This record gives sequence, structure tokens and C-alpha cells, in this order.
Amino acid sequence: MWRYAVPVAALCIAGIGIAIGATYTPAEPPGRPAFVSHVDGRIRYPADRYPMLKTPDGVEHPVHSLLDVRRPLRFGDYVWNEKGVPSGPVWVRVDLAKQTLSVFRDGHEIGTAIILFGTDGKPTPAGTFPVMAKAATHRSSLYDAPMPFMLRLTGDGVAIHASNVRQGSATHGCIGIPHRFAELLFGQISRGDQVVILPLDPGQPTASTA
Amino acid sequence: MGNISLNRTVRRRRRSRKGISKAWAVWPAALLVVGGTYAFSSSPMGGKAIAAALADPLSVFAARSPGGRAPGALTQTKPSRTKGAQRPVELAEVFPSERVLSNIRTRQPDEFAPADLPDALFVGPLAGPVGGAVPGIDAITPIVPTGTGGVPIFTPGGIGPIVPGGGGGGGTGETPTEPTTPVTPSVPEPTTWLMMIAGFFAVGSALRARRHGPAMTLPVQATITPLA
Repeated sequence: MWRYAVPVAALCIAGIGIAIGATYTPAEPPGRPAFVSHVDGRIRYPADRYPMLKTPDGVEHPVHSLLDVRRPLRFGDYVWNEKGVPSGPVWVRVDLAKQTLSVFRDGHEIGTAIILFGTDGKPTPAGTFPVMAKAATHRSSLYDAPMPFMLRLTGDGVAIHASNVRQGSATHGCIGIPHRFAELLFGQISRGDQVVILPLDPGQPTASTA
Repeated sequence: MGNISLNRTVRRRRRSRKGISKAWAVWPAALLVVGGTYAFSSSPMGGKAIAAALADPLSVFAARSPGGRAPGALTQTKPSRTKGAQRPVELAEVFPSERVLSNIRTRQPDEFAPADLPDALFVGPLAGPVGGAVPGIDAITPIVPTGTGGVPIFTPGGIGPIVPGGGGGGGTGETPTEPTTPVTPSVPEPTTWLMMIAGFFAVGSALRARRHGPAMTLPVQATITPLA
């Protein structure tokens, strides 16, 4: 009788474990993006072989390092990592065709996120835009909607601002980024910093205001 | 380099599997033993990917991108405030309609009034405006309208025809002068009898099975006991 006690007890424990494992759901805090990486994962380029990122108006920005995002980001995801990155000039690269945004400081990419951009009827303008104004709490007068951490790019209202980045959503020409990422970006950008918006179609003419 | 990538694995595991089990905390400790080989074997990018990133930094952006948006994709945006001001306010926005089906039928009843067909319900010897006998049904229960003609009162006992001019649709209900008293049948119907008899059979068989049950299993136990 007692020789079966150990297997029976093991079976009971296994059953309890399976039951717990089947009903267990990891508790994710709401509102947090699915993938956030603040670790020091970046692709560093050798000092003699810095690649150049060309903007549509011909300016070349050297790249010292890029963030190592190991899988495609989903809507609402962002990566921010400025550990060990020295201070320096900041510029933002917005790739409409790839639906991504990258922040560079001193040649190092310190943040990237998936963006929302304008619909076909109200497209996001392409070109190089200096940040005209900043507002941490802004409410759109045209759409009567909160647009926190707004970085105004054009005189007619196109800006980078926090938005609910979900697949299937679009803007009226603005660039929507996740809320926390917008807060981080807002802290990096000062007035006059360059935002380069690459056109959706490479053959499309760009409206450069810089 | 090894320490950095190890720290990354530790943090990522802590972040993603927070609180799942203590067993997950064992993994980084095990990796500490394997140490250097782990840091080299699972470097953040494979050799090919690093070579591609060195050759073309744009490949890094392409790898993290969820892909391009299809031209003409269906997207949702915020409505414009100016457009909203010009649009007339619809009544349904002010008074939102219920989504639950109510028991009040607002739809008009179907137009089905067979005029020339004979009314099969009221064909019988007692067919008349006050009440009628339905062949095959014992009891006749008339519907007695209330004085104000509001709600018809149903008396239990059977099926009765609706008295014309009574309640139902409201209006001025006329109290019938001599309401027929409901007749309660003294003998139950055959189905009731059958159901009761079947119930007695069920109870009886259950009692019988319980009484005979242990007696039938006794010989089986007797054969088992010598073996044990």
C-alpha cells in the first residue's frame, strides 16, 4: 500500500501543477506597451565605417549605433535606450513607408516606435521640418481632442504627438506615437531640432521647409 | 560584453515572467555557470544579420517595421470638430434608443383577416358570441373583463375563447351579465394518469433494486476474500 504513496502523491502534485498552469495568466499592467526594452542592446558600427542616412534634401547623417530590436515591433510598442549615449545634436527620422520613427542623439539611435500617420485623403507631408513649438499639454482646436506632448512641425497644424497607436488607425496628417514614448521624445527635443519625414512613395516630391 | 548580455537576459526574464515561479530565477543562475558560451552563442543578432546591418543600416529599420500600410487601407480617424458642428444633431444621440428588445410591440400586426373562412374554433353546438364549446376540450373558461375594461383575468382550468367586446384591446369593456362558472373536471386526464403510474413504477423499481443490490454482490465478495 505505501509503495504507491509516492507515485500517487507525485501524480496529485502534477495534477495540481497542471491545473495551476492552465489557469495561470501573467498579469500585465494595463496601458503598458507589449514590448519595452531599456537594456543596452544596440548595434555599434566601427568608427571608420559609420553608415550615412540620407535625407530627401541631400543631407547625410552619420550613424554611430542603432537599437537592436530583435523582432518586428507591434503597434503601440516602442524601444527607448539612451544609456551611455553622450549628449549631442538630436534629429528624428520618420519613415512613413515602414511606419517607424527613430530618434538619434549624437549619431546614436536612442528610441524607436511604431507610428500612425495621415490617411490617403489627408497625407502626412514629407520633408525636413524643424520643430516649431512644443506643448506638453495641448488640445487640438481643430479636432477637439487632447494631443499631449505635441511637437509642432508645420504652420498648418501637423505635429508629432501622443496617440493611441493601434493597427487600423490613422491621423489627419499628424504623426501619432505611444504616450510614454512621446513623453520621452518630448524631453529630448528642443525647438529647432530637425524632423525628417521620408515620403511614403520614394518618387513623391517632398515639401522641404528647412 | 559577456556581463552585459547576461544582465540583459536576467532583466528580460524578470520583466516578462515576473512572478510566474521561482523556477525561472534558476535559469540565470544556470546560465552563469555556462557563462561565456551563452554570451557568444546567443548574441543579439546572428552573424548574417550583423553583416547585413553593417552593410546597409536600412535593413535594421526594415527588420523592426511591422510592414507598410497598404494604399487605400481602411483607417479610422477622429472626426473633425468643424464637420461635427455643421452636422445636425440627430435625435438618437440626445435620446439614445435601447438596444434590448422590449416586450412592447410597436410593429403593426399583420394584415390577415380571413373573412369568408368558417371559424373552426367556434363551430359547435354552443357557438355564439358569449362562448363556445371546443370539441375535445372539457373545460371552458371565459375571460372575464374587469369593469374598466383593462386587463383580462384568466381563470385556470382550460382554454376559453376570448369574449368579444371584452378586455384585451382596452376600451370600455362590458361586463357579461351571466359569466359561465369554470368547471373543474373531477377525473384527471389520461396523460396525467399515465405519468403518475410511471412514477410509481420508477419508485418501486428503485426500492426493489436497493433491497436486492447487496444480496447480489455478496457471492462476488466471498470469492474475493480468500485471495486477499
